[in-house]
Amino acid sequence: MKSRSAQLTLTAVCLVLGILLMMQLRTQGKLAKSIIPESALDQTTMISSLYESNLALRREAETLAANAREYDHAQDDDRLQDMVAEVSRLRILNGQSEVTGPGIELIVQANLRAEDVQDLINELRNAGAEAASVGDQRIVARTAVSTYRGKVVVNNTFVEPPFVFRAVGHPDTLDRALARKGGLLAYLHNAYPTATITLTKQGRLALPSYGEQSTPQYARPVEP
Amino acid sequence: MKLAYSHRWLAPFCAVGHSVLDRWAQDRRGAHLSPVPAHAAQLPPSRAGRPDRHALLGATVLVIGGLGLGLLLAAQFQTPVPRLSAPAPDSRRDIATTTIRQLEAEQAELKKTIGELRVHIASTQQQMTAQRGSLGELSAQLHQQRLLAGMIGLRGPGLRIVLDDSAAKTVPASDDPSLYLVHEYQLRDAVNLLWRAGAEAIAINDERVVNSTSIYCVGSTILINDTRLSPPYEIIAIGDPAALEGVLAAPDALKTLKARVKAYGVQFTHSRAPEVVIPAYRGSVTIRHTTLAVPAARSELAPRAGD
Repeated sequence: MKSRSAQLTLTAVCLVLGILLMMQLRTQGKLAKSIIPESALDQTTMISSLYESNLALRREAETLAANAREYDHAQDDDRLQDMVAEVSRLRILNGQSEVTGPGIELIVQANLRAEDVQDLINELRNAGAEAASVGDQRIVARTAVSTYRGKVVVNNTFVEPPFVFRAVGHPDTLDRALARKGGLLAYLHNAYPTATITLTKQGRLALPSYGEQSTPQYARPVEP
Repeated sequence: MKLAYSHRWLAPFCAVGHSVLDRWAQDRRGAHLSPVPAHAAQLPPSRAGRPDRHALLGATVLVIGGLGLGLLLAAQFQTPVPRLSAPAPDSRRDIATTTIRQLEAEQAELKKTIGELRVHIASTQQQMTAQRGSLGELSAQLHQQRLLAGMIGLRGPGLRIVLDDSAAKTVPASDDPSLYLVHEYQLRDAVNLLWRAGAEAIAINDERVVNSTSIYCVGSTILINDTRLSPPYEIIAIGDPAALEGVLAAPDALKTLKARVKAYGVQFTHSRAPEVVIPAYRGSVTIRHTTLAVPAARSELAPRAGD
């Protein structure tokens, strides 16, 4: 029994010791984190070194902030957007993409000559067409009209009657310009008395793109 | 025994825990009558079985326990005082402590800001690199489209054509005076032929022929790009000079014009040139009703995910 009570005492003492050790350990951990020197000299040294380092940090932060502002400005998203818009505009102009829009449709059921087709294209341009097509051929600046074995050729492709001309633009303006007295339609009615010619305003037209892609072989940009 | 142990001294002691206690107990073996391992509870039965040692053991345990306890208590009280020099007066120390804490907080804030700015700049730079790529691509596209649209002046080999009204001083009363003049459809025919021959650029009296260009007349005045032109009409084309000249010279080309040259003195000449200069289109481009069937997506130009 005596041996047993000794053992119990020992265990209890060890337990208390253990608890105390743990407490000590924890206290130390907390202290290690927030140790501030006690001496006036040490505190002064610490304050001045912190002050100096914060000064350097602030300078660094200011430099970085200026850099960041500069970069943000240099990104110039607006310029990019402007360029995208300009490319889109020119692609429409150059017939590089399929386009849609309101306009007019002119159908001529007659064996038109190449000159007539050429004159009609000129008339559409003059009327203010933003984009135009004849048959499935988009009209671009370099569109040439010719005749091959009695058939009309546009962009090196046969176009057969009925000739369907489409022009995107303000429908009323285009309609008025084409149907005007003494205009090309009047001439066509005279030249082809049996022809069926219909001119209609359209809410939405779909025009094909110009198929050919050519890189200039002779022309070089004039240096600015 | 001095009990003013600093926490520094105690640290390794605590870290190793009970095994150190054992050693500590053993170190003091000499001072005591009997070795008392801390883990006495686990003593082998042969030793625990001897009753004459029990009293001694109990006493030793209590002594050691007391010592340990005292030691630790003392250490606990002494802990926050690393007495290296005299402490500063309380009020001054409070101000200093507050200042240090403020400076430390400021430091942490600045470091955080710097870290964030560095991350921001790095991502911006990455974005810019990608964007510069698409910007370059876009510039190239824009240049290509401008070139095609006639917005850029060009030079190169080509053909120079001059068309002018008849030089005849008098028109016989029986003749239609219009037969002696250059007409807009003649210019149109010439331009059409030049395009067919592979012309890369055409201008008439310095008016660039572009997609919107119409060649028409009001009364007897020819207008190109809504600009009034007067004879002589000089058509300049860039392209293969031989091909350009060939298409104009073909017998079935410009038949009526050639006939009028002969009959009425309308002037029509052309000459190859090793270099001609064609100005850029200077008119407006109005695109108000037309939209791309497939709009140029902004995403096409944005940096790809992998960049």
